[in-house]
Amino acid sequence: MNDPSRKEEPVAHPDPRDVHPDAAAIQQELDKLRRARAAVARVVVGQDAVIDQLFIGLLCGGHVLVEGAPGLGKTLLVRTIGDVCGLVFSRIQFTPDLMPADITGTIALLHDDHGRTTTQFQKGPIFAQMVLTDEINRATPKTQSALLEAMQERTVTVSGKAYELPEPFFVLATQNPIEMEGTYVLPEAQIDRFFFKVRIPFPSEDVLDRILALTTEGDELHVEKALEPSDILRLQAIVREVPVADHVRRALARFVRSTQPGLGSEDADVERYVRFGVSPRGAQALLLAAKAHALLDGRYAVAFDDLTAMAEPALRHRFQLNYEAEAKGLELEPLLTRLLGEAIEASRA
Amino acid sequence: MPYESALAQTLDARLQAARRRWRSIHVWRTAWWALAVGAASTAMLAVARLWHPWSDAALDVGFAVAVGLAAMGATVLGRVAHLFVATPSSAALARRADARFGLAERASTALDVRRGGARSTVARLLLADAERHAQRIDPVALLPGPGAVPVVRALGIATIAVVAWAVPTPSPAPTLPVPGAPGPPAVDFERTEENARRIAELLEEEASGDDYLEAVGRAFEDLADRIERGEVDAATVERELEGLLGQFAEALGDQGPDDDLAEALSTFRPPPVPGQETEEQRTRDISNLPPPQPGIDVLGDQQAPENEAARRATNRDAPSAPGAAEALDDLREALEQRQQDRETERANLGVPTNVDPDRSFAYFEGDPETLAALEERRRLLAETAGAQGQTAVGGAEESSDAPGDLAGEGTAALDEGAASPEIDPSQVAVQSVELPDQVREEGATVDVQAAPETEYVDIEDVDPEMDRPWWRGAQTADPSRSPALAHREAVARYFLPDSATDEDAR
Repeated sequence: MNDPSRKEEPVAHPDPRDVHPDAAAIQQELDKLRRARAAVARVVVGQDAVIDQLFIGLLCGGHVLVEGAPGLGKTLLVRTIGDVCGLVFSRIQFTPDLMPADITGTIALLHDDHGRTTTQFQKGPIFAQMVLTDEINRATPKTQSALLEAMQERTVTVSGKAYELPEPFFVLATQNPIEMEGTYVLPEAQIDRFFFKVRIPFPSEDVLDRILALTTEGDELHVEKALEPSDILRLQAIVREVPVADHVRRALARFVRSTQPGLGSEDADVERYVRFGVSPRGAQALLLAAKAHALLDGRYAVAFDDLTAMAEPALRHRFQLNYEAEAKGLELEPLLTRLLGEAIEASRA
Repeated sequence: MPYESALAQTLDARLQAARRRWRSIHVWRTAWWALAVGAASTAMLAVARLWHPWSDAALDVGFAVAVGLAAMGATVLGRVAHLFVATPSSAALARRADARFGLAERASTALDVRRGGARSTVARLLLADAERHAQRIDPVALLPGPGAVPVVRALGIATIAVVAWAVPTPSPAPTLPVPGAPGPPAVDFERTEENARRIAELLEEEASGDDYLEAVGRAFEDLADRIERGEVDAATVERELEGLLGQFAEALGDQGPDDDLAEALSTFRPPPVPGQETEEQRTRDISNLPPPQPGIDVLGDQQAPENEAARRATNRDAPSAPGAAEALDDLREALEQRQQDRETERANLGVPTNVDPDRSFAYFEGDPETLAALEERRRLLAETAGAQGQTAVGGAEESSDAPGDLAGEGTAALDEGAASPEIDPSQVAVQSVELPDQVREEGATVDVQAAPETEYVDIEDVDPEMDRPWWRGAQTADPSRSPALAHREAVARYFLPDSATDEDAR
């Protein structure tokens, strides 16, 4: 017997002209977004979920921490998205001797033709719309803090003068989970500033076969720009307008509470194995990501499935198990999924 | 019409249809629930009727139907109240529809958006999207019908109720005595008084010259007077009547076994009341109790074989005065016949007329004249019996513990001695000794199973070579050995020396 809840019939989208004059523009923006996603997927094969998560991060105005082994196409993915979205792209390779000024920029003395010397702020690589920071954990905490401050404030202050970062501003920081020697692990307070933490899985055999075929034969693939930066800004505004039902929001609040040890959580595993639970910022990120996920899926309302789909990338770096759980080999994602499922069921009841 | 309202028409219509269906299902279930509850109530009453005596008088089909209808009404009222309280809201139905039809929270979010006002363009797009997807909301699929389960359940319970009421009501249970409550009197005072007076009159007429029977008759009369005056309660009447009847029976027992007398006495037993036999009455050992007494159920056991005659007599006269008049007439005739036989025998034997052979009661009073007369009569009877080779007063042998027991047994011993050709009755004397608990037997010590005090007859010239202890198990099994002979042999065995020539031991 078919479960009706699993059956999603294709429903034609309403004619925007019947809804509102702005509805047509919204539909156009959403169509552009879908085309951009499809373009990236043609280059980065077999990473549809990662592509969606990166686009969602972009639509939500957040920054993404990408974690994956070397050679999985992290740089290719970020560069392709930048190209498709028409964003100014820059890349910073983090090293231990990297200084904050190397990121933000510095004041330089300039000599003009008249022999006068003037000071001028030379913008660093962070002044771009899409910044790829490779191996962020190899830089010193001072440099990391400079980057994270710019990410948070979207401004760079040099010599008492603040410089606005361009819009949209999107940072993708990569982190090699294998080579941890000689690295500076990001503290939780700073890692919480990343909207998503995306893990790039190793491709399957079929995907790998397609990757080999595409990248070793013929010319290098080129993608066409499908979005303008202004489109991304408009899409970011649309995402925030997506309505959320009361019981969905209530389920999210119940879930966040249930992840907190010491707050009377009814789950024994939370009390025993959780070091700290999901923060309110994490809940905000999850709900916003769910809205973007619904839009990307062609819907205008947040569903429980959107919360479930976005829970791991939005919360895996905001929800930490303790040493006992690590010693027992417990994984974080199953616990997150279970707690969220229980909260959803309680809200539905 | 606002655009938002127009967009939500389909959604509203579907949700309202779902609400109506929910109510109809609720009403349907309420009806069958009410029937089930009513039938269950009726069935419980029907089942209770089969076991509980209280329900037998109070319950009938009409009452049970009324109770069932009341239960149905109460159920309907409760369910209707629940209908108004628990009817799901449109939001709840929308959430259920979202989950049931995979609407991805479109319906519930659309309702929330419309309630708050669709201010944004995306919200309007949501309403339009929800309106399209509302077509998929099927109230029937959303709220499946209750199916046949309530119907089958209700009809099953109703069938059980009908079957339970079809079982016939058992006959009214007997009224059991309530613990602590006064039970029916064990003695019918009126009948007992009447019987006691009849016995007293009978004894006064028939026992002239016999002090014992006269005393018993006076005792019966006194008891009747006290019953008439109401001075005695049932227990006292029962106790005294039992004693008097026992003495009366002993006195009559001296006349020898007589079935007519026994039957006459048995007729005074009241008829049994079915279901009132106590456990003690059913299990009581009647072997050591006196025979049935008139007017009172001494034994309380109607199953005893010896009471068959009493039951016959009782049934013959029931229910007015069980066997009283006719049985007393029989008793009177038997006594008269016995008296005539005795007079005839006395005349044939030439017994002095101034000696009353039945004045055994005077023996206890130590009347020398009576004792002398009894001794003379005993001697004459013994001589007569010895000459005829039979026991003259065999009836007395059967009496072991009557008031005239000692004299009777002595008489019996003399009679046996007279009947024996080896023993001269003149050599027999009655003595009383204390029997030791243990005696020697072939050098060993043997327990003696006898009463601490007994009697033996000191007999001279008893054969010392008599077989050893044969009597313990054989004296009653061998009918040829009379108790008197066994007694003599026991005395010879244990109280004479092992060797006849051992004069010291003798």
